[in-house]
Amino acid sequence: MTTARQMRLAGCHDCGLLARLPHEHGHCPRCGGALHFRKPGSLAKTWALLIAAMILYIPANTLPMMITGSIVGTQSDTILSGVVYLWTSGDWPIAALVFFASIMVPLLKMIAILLLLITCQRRSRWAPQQRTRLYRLVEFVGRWSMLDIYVVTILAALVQVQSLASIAAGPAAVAFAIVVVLTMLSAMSFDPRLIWDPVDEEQEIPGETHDANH
Amino acid sequence: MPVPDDRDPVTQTQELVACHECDQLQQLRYPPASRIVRCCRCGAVVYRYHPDALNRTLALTTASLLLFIVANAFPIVAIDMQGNVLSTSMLGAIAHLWTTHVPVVAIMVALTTLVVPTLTMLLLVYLLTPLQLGYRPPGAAELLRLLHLSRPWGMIEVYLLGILVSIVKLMAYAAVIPGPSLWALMLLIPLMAAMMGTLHPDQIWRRLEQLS
Repeated sequence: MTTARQMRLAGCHDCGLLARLPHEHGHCPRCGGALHFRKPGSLAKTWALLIAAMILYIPANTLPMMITGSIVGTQSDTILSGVVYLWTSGDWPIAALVFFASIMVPLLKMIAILLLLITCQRRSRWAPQQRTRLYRLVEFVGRWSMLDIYVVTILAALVQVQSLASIAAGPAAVAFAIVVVLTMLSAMSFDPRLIWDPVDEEQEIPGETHDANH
Repeated sequence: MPVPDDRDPVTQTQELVACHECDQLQQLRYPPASRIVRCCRCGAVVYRYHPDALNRTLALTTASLLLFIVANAFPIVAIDMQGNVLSTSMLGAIAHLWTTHVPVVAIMVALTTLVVPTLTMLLLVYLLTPLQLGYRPPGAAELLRLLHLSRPWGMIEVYLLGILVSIVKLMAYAAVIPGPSLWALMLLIPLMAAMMGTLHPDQIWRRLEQLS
């Protein structure tokens, strides 16, 4: 089993071309993109974005997401109370969908990135295949958390002051939109090849120094 | 203009490929025998190949672009609240967010449902039309990289689900009338999924290399 880095080759992030990379950094001969063996500062960037997302996840869930005004008065709903309201009013499939997309997906995504970060930092050789699959899943599901933002967008645009009731987006919408962006950026800055590096190093013949500088 | 047959056994070559997810080097045959080639170690998709990919993607993109124009030109849904009919379009919803003091959210929604999908489709038409006619479009490398960067941020399919959830929520209070835009979006989603599914940027890069 040989990796590209051991042969001093690097796959381009942008176009996928395998190119010879004599130094740490270079440019792809096909597309001109930056070329390196691993994404530079991947773990640090992923940590920073993840921590920022975790902090914002708190206001995203505690502040009101949707403010409904009617003749009776105004009512503020957080994401969770919106789900509870849907559940009690009998729309349980929609309640489950919103709960999954807006609460479970961001939470599980942050836990998954945290797990990947900790295992990579400790140079763990545990279940690399499953962890790669987890990374792929995280990249795939992240976008679906935008669901609640779109729901508020449409409801707020439709139910306006002219009618008897009005709906407005609350401050949680801002926090939540930023959480989605931050978790997506965090997943993008993570380099899944870091999962495999400890596995590959173990297989190298002892005494051989391919990557002394790493 | 005849399209060169990539699967000609004479032109089929062995090449060295590194998996983008685990860095495993592997010797693969190109063009591959199957539609999808996975990494032998971690299972990541290394190649997605279709002999007629560029042509199909161009056709699907053109169709998607037309449907996307329809989706933006008409209202998505209208509600009838005691004879008071209110409707909204995709642009209208974004404009409303902007004016009601949540510009951050408005920008996010505009980017993911309007700017990125439009950019993706226009870029594909711009890149693929000249390629199919046999010449290299100017600025191809930079634009292909832009396409690759913007790809994860197009979220039209999530938007459609959001519309459907809103409709269910509204049905409790008012009569909901689906607009032409909703039907256009429902047709657009499978087309865009097929468009992204047949396309692997690698094939565009190879065609560009052949032409230069």
